Amino acid sequence: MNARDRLRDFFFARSTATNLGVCRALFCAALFFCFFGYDPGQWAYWPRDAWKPVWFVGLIGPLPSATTLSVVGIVWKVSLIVAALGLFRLVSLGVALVLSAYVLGLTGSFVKDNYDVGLPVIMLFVLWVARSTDAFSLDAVIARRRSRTRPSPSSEYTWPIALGRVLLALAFFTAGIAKLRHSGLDWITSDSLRWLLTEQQYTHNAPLDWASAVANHPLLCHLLATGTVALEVSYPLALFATPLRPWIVLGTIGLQLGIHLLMGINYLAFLAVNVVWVDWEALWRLLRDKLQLATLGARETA
Amino acid sequence: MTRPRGLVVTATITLTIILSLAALVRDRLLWPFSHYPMYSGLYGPRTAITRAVAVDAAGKEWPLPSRVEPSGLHLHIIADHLRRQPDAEERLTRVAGALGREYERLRTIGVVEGASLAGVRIYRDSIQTATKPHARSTTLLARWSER
Repeated sequence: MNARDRLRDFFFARSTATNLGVCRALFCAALFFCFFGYDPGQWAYWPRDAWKPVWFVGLIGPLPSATTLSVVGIVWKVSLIVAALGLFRLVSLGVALVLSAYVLGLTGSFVKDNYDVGLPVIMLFVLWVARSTDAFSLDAVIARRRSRTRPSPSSEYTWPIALGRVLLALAFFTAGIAKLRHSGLDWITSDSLRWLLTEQQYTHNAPLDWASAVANHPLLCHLLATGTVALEVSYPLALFATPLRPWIVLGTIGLQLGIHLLMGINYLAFLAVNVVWVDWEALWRLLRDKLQLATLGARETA
Repeated sequence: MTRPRGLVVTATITLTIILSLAALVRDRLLWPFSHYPMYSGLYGPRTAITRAVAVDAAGKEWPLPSRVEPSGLHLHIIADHLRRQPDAEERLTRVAGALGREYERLRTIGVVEGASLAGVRIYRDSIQTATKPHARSTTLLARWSER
């Protein structure tokens, strides 16, 4: 198989609609829970001198009132739930996409850029274009009642998941390259991470008060820095090197959870994109078979 | 997949990958495509934070609650940005005023507890993290009074 065939196979091999449907449902539900407590109305009270909107937010015009922003926030959360349920894909995911670009764009529109909420917005765009409600959705239930047919395996259900994986790989690869570009190997060999962990106590409220303790072990800091850059730069290998995939994917998930626990930086919305790495259909079959075996065993014993 | 549908899908794949690569190559944010520069710089044994405090009529200070935004790192970045502007003092004073009004608004609706304030001060603390305890020096960046 040449490179072109492998690429075509990677994006356009036939697969069933269920996996994509589960990914959509989990991803949209995860976004809803991540931002459940987020009220975009808060931005109306921020100092106007700090207003520096990202292009999409600027496109909409001046910042509306707190009430308008809060209402937008409610509509956005409702659209995420409806998208998770898989009802009226084009409308629900379309509204979720546009409002996510706006309300999450607001988080980076007051001088401080916000880098980690962009990928979820791109993923919503992918799910909006994709036929992501052909299974595991209310749209699918309605369609089956009308025609009583199930969607057959198609490349339509493969490319969105493959693209989600590529976007994750590019994101981590870019983060690794940024460290090497801006600091070179000094990011690993110097005491930079140690000082970064030390200063976190002044800038963030981390769930665990361990950053200073970790910072007291320079060798551990060097190991963590090496592991971070190695995982980030090697992430694209997870796309094709199947044996390495669980190590790289679980490693970076652990890395982001570790950053959250030690440094108080929340990457939970970004982490939600990782649903694309799981074969939910295979996992369901595995669990169902194990459950059936356990039930049979219990009956025989009885 | 029909031909028009195939074109839409190919355009989606190509566009998202090209824009992700463009953010990487140009090393700049092309919202929502990012160059992920977080913490990519080098850190040393000194840092600085910006904090806002409420002041009562007698001049007594207390920290503004974290519910009053911007706070923490975000306030620091905003203050750093405004300090580079030609009318920095005026802008920072307006930010202090906005924080004071936000505190009073939240206090009135019962979201935060505390005394009524007469003003807000914004300080910048330079901290040496190599010493134990960490040495700190403080500079007043802006002051706003409700009068």
